[in-house]
Amino acid sequence: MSIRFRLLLAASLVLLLFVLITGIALQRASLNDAMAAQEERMQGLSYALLGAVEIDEAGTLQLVESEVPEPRLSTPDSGLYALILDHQGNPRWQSPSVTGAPQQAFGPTEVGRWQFTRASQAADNFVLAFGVRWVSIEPSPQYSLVVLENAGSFYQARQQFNRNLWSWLLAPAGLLLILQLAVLSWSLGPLNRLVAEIVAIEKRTRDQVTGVYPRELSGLQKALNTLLRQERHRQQTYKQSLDDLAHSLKTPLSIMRNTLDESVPDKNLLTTQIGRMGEIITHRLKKAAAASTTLLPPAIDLFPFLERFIASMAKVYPGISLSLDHPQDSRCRIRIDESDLYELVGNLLDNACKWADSTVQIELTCDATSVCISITDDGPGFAGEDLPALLKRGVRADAQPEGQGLGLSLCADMVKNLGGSIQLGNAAAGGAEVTVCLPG
Amino acid sequence: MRALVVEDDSDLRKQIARMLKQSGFAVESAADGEEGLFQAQEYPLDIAIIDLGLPKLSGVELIRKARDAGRSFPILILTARDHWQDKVEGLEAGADDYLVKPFHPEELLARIRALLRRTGNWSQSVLHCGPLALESSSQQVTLNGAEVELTAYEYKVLEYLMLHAGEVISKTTLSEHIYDEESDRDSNVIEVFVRRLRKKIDPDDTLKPIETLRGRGYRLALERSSH
Repeated sequence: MSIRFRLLLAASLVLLLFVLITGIALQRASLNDAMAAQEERMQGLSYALLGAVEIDEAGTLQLVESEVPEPRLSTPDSGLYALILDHQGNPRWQSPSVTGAPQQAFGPTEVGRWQFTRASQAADNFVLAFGVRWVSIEPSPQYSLVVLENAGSFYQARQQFNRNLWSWLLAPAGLLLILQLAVLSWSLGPLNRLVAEIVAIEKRTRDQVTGVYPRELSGLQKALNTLLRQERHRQQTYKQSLDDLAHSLKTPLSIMRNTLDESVPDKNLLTTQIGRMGEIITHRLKKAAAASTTLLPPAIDLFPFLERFIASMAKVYPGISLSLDHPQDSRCRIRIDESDLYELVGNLLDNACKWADSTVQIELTCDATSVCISITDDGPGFAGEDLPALLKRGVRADAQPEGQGLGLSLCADMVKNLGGSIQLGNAAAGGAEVTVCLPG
Repeated sequence: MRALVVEDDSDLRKQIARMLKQSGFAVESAADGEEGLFQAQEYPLDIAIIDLGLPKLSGVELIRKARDAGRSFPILILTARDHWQDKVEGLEAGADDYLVKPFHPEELLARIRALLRRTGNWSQSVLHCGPLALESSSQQVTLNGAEVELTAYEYKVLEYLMLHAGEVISKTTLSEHIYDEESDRDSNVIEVFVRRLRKKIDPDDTLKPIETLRGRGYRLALERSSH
């Protein structure tokens, strides 16, 4: 899981939780407020109703129509109802809005006590009951005033409120998320740049971390550069000591070999063994050198390089005519350690010249992603040989590579290290054709 | 033939010098690049064998400076590192061939002879001029297929003339390329060798293989032929 994703996920969850809790708390507080307001309003209505009630000596209840405070009470089925019940629960008066029988039975309410019942859904009614006793007449009769209001419009208002509340909460939350994303990108920018630089170093298009980084990363940057420098130095020392080793071993071997004359018993055996020692040194050192690749080699223009090489090879093989077939292509450049390219081309050309009858043709083809060098000779070609095995020959130090094997297996190793491919085959005319493709 | 050996390892240098002397070469030797360059400019050489890893002046620099000074004798480079980059740089600087250490002594001699033949525009390993044939690897000379017995110096004179068949070679040049020590050089002795050579390869005095050009030198007058 990437750091960016972790940060984003954590921040989003926290934000979401905050918005949810805030929303629910606000919703609750506002509902309680609205309920209290509803109760208060219904209380006000009750007082007004009580004020409008007239009761005579006989205990007959009368309501002055003009003093009914709320016109909805006079409209049938308006959703606002009022009832006055005697102590047995029988209605003694009901507002004109009540049509038909009352939907529910109400018990007597204790005198002087408000009893409020909340409606839990839009279809229910809010019910406020109040117990009263008229002390002006004897025996003072006890009544209950019941006000009912349908909760439909109340809940409609709640819904509207909730919609507004959530949209006002979620819109800034979304905005915050976008802001957070921007902040994240900005804060993680240096890290991304560092990663890009490291990738470039891996691809060997850059040799050290050069960007300007914030304090938290500059230590890492320094450590990386030191590591790279040390690695490069180590590789140089390694190559140098390999060369020194080759030089200091081979000169004594030359002397030993040249000292052997006919008078020495087992001269041939010793000569062969000295020869093997020389070959093993060469082979091992070349393999070791092929395994170490330099960081950030400069791009080499292949055409002039090959031309130079061919001019040199022509001196060594005066009987062979070497030709270079090439397109005028600016893409024929590769980033490769120069000494690696020398070894690769040298081994391939030397092999071809050794086996060729009179001509060696070099063909260069380049495209955006790769560069291919194809070398064809007019020699005997590969006659029924196990080609994959040819590339693997001489893997063991004591294996005796000979002929095409040594050069080609070295080339195959090198090409593999460079991320390219090597192909062996026979040309249409009969000679051997070796094609090496390297990433451009 | 006069050869220069530039090699910093004294044992190997002495070995190569001894081997070349045994094969009839007059040999100069040097232990470092600067000394090698001095000798390359100073002596009339037919070939130089130069190690690439030399103290004071690298082999490649030595070759480049010798070529810049107009020295055109063939150069064979020796390399222990066996790096193609070294070989190509050596060849580009002006060397003609390379040999990787450790080498067979026979291989070194064969390469030297091939280079000498190439310099004289010979492509075969046996030089044929009219009825004469000279094989440098065995130092054998035949006339119409019959072996001709020659002394070491007579052979050297004939080899030089045949390698440069058709060219005029002065007595001084001949003596310079044949004698090991400067003190031995005496152009009168060359006349004696040439006279003896003529008797041996042209007993009937009909072939007239070696022309004398008064005041200028000698020329092998036989046509080169390919067999």
